[in-house]
Amino acid sequence: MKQDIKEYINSLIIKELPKGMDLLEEGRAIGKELQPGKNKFFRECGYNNFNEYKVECMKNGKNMWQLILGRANNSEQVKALQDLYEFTQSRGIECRSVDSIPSMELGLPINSRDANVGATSFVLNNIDDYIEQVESVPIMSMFGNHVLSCPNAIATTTSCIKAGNSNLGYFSQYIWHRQGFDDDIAHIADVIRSCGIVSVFYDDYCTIDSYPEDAFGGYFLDCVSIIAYTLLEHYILRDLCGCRSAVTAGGLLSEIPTRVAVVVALHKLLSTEDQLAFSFWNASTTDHWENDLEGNFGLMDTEVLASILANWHYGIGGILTQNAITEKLRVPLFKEQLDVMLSGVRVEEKAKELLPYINWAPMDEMIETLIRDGKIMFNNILEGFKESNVDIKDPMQLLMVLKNFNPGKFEAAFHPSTFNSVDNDVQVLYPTVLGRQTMQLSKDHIDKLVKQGKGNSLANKNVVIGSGDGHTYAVYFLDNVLSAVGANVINGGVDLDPVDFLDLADEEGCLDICITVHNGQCYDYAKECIDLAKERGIKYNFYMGGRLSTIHSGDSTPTDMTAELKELGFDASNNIFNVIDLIFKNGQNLSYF
Amino acid sequence: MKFVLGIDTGGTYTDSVIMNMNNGKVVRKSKSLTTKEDLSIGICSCLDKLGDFPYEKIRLVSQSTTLATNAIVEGKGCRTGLILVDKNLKRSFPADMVFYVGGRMDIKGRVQMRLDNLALNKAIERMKGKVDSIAVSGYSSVRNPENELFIKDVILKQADMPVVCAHTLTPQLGFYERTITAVLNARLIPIISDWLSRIKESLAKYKINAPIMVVKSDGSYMQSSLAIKKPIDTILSGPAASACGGRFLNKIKNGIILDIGGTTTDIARINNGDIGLNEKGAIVGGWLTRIKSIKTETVGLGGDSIIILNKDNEFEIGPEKVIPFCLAGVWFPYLKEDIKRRINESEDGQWVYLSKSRNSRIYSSDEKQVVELLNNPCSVSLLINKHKISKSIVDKLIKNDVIKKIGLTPTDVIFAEKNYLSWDIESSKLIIGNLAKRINVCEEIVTHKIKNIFCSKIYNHIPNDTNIVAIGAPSQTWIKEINRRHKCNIIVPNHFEVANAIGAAMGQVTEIVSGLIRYDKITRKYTVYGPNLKQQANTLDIAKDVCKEMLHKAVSMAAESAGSNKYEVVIDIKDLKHKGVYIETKIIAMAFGDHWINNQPKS
Repeated sequence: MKQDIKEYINSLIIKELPKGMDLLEEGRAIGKELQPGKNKFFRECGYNNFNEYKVECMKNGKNMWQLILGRANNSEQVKALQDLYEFTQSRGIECRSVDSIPSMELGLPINSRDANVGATSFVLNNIDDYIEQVESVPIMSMFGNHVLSCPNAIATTTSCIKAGNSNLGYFSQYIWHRQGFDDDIAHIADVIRSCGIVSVFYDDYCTIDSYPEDAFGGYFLDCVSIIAYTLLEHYILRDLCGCRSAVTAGGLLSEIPTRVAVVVALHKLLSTEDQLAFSFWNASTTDHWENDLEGNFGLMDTEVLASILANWHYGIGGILTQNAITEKLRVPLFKEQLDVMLSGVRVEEKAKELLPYINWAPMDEMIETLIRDGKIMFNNILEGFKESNVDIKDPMQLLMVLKNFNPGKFEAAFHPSTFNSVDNDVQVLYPTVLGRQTMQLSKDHIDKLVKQGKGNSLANKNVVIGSGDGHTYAVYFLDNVLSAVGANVINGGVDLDPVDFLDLADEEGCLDICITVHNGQCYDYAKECIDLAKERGIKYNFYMGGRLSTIHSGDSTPTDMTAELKELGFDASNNIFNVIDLIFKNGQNLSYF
Repeated sequence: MKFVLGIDTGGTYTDSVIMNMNNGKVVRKSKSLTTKEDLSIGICSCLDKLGDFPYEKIRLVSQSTTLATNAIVEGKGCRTGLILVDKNLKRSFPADMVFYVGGRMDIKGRVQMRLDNLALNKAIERMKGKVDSIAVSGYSSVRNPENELFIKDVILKQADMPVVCAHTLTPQLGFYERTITAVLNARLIPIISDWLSRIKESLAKYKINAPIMVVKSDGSYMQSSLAIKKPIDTILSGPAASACGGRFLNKIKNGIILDIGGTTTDIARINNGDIGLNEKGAIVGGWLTRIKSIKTETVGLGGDSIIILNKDNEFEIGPEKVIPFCLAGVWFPYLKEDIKRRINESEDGQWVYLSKSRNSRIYSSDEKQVVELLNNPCSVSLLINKHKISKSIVDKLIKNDVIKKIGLTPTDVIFAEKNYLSWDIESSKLIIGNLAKRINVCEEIVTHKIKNIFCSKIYNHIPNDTNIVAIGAPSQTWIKEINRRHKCNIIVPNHFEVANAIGAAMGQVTEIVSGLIRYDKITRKYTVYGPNLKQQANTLDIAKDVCKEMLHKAVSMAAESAGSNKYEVVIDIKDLKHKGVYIETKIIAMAFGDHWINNQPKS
């Protein structure tokens, strides 16, 4: 492995960490004291665990459906569950689960919640709140977001188990930075303890779910990397922590061939004789239209048709979720969610007619390649970590290294095309959708700028770029486009704090700072930039792009913050052409003052 | 009695004073022309003019100097090599050889890639014998100086020459500016070292064997031994001494110091007794440094600024500095006859002569012709019209200090009006008379117009303030004119003409060292970025204690090496939070020395 990568990984190793195995034991001690509950779904439907239910559905050729639900408060959530139950029962739809999405606030210990943006949907304050949901209807509320992988992991994990919810997660979210909680070691230590708790209930099929695309895996250019990273997570969960684990996919995979191939590859790699490891097909969120929303039904239905066929052909048992129809604009209304589910159910009625005529051979080939290269990359990761002195038997050290590892660097370090090669650029085999879109988007913008005669408009201008969160694609896009018009791009990478942006700009003698954010914190982030700039007495030119909205306390839907950002003095046009024109106009390097 | 000799070597004059530090009185003062070719000549001439004095009683010599500034502006200095770590800046440097050595450090001072020792050794090998000093500058070195310190050690083991690490000169971010600062510093080391030894020799002639202090760009002192290591700190020594002198002479707490010199007029502000500092760094010779310096507004207007008649027959003054006719006439008695012979309506009234301080470089044939023609001062229009020398050649030779220009200046106007017979006012009057003829007015109207323009230009640059103190040789004459014309009350204190030398004598040691603490999310520890070290601590309180101790030690060492053995250390701690979330802690340690003379053990 390359020396600089080895040194980079080595720099991520934190000495004096608590031992992962000790943390697991601490978790197991907590778990042994717990009395797991059995929720209404298990009691009324007669299953011992959720896997048993899925296996039976697959055996009977039934596809399972679910909704993603995150209403403003617990009462509204319970009401929505009741309405969903009534709706699906009255129409004979096999819907026995929801992906229940609480507020981000739930992820924080109660005493750390002041600095957070406030509740974004319901918060489960105590065990009664969990019970209220899971006992309302015989539908399994799967708590994926802001539960086991967050700083509040132990409280949420124990509550889920007590309330009788055997599936919880999403493990992959451990890399998320939780505003208001900066103690990464305490955070990850509690995640490991929580894994220890879950491992006690192995025989009860208590399962940790993961959704890599929503975190680390969302930054990769190649689907091979998603497979390899998922194998790594499962190595940590199963081999090191002794837990059952499952995986979810699809949110960022809207191209049907790769979408199906990745899911099947994961199923083949991870499912075992006694457990189906693929949880649910998440609806893709990348291809939606901003107008004619009804047209998105077509996208969803095509996608769900492929999932249904793959479920049957490969015996995956992935639950079908397809409610991302308004993702580009807003959170869908409950009615819209039901409508699109119903539309998918009608697709299922006709899908069987199609099944005998599908030629799966090209798909099988893609799946085999993904499996082969995914395994190679997984082995590269373990080998590279070992060479860099990472203790690959210690889940604590592994997760801390991963938490601080830049995903772009991760892919470039271990991908089969770059590992042990002089080449640093990943040779993409099966592009992820965002990877392909970002590359194409960069190319389209560069072509347009060249046509406009702006091919060298930022020559010799220094521009600092970076992401306030993990928005790798946007950074990649910015770097490509700004470099193409001649700018000297100083790429700070991802997860930068405002103070890091300003330090970089000062060290480089640069006043133009492009920040991309995606996690709803744009206003606070911008305000901090402005306050720090005032403190330094320097007037920087800030340009912010990405998702320029935030979810205010008590709201379920995000509010656009463009006007507020402009008021702070940010360019919030979210348009690279404007940004280039403004840098051309404003751009002045600090050194020339 | 405790006596201090203060010397200010300005662009035009060298001033000196002997101050009695027991009562703060000026006991001797003198002025001499600055001898750019060898500043020590002007200093000796100044000392001669101080008259009889028991020089052995001088306990301290303190000086402000333009030597470093001039050397940078003129591109002088020793042959300097530069080692840049990590990043090829693709920009120009005032260095003779530049090498890039791999070794990545991120903005938080974390090592991303180890130093490329092979490239480092090659660079050192290639510089051996070809440079006289080496500057080392690393990306993010103020966050982690380990690469710079390591390279310095390696160079010192292999070559005997001064090595300057950028992080030792400034704690500020700005890789390029830090690098410039380090290179300029490295270039200046032999110059300042040589100059200080010649000063010591000159002082020895007067039996002055006192320690020598040099005024820094922020107005504080440093011992000559430190000035040799950090000559870059002296770049705005003159303006800093001027502001200190003005403040001392009028004891103002708040107000403006207006220093009207021969070349420029410098305007500095005093707030609560403190001289405003430019935290971002001084610009000198077109290079932006990271040297904290006095904040001044400089106007290109002084007693020796050129006066010209433009095509609309209006007078313009400055910014070019020339030799006044009244002075040139003293040096070249032949000049006034030449003026008389040449004087006519087409004559621009500008002469040139060969500079004593010109270097012996090889000239082009045109340039050589000019040099050969200038046995005596010669009119510029004659050179151009008769000898067919292009104006651009003349301008180039002036710029390169091969020839100097003589022209009509505000000093000529005032001296001619006041009839100062010790100067060659006849030459001045001839030029003024010629100008009067050209615009069909009497000489008094020319004088009146020029004085109006000069006064208005100065007045328009003065900030609106009730407390304005003017210093500098031409100030008494001109301030009277400004006060009368603009109905203001600018004060000209006693000893205004040697205020800079007084400022030099009145300095004190002030050293400032800063540190920074940030939380490191990866290690979950607090990182202390100290002056020479990056260190981690488990809690913020421990980090603060570590940083305070580090800074106390560093500032004490700095104060002692600057020449103070009695000083007070003040530590200022500022936590920065945003919406209650911790961002950073800035800690500044300041050592304030008493005036040097009061710190000396009783003899």
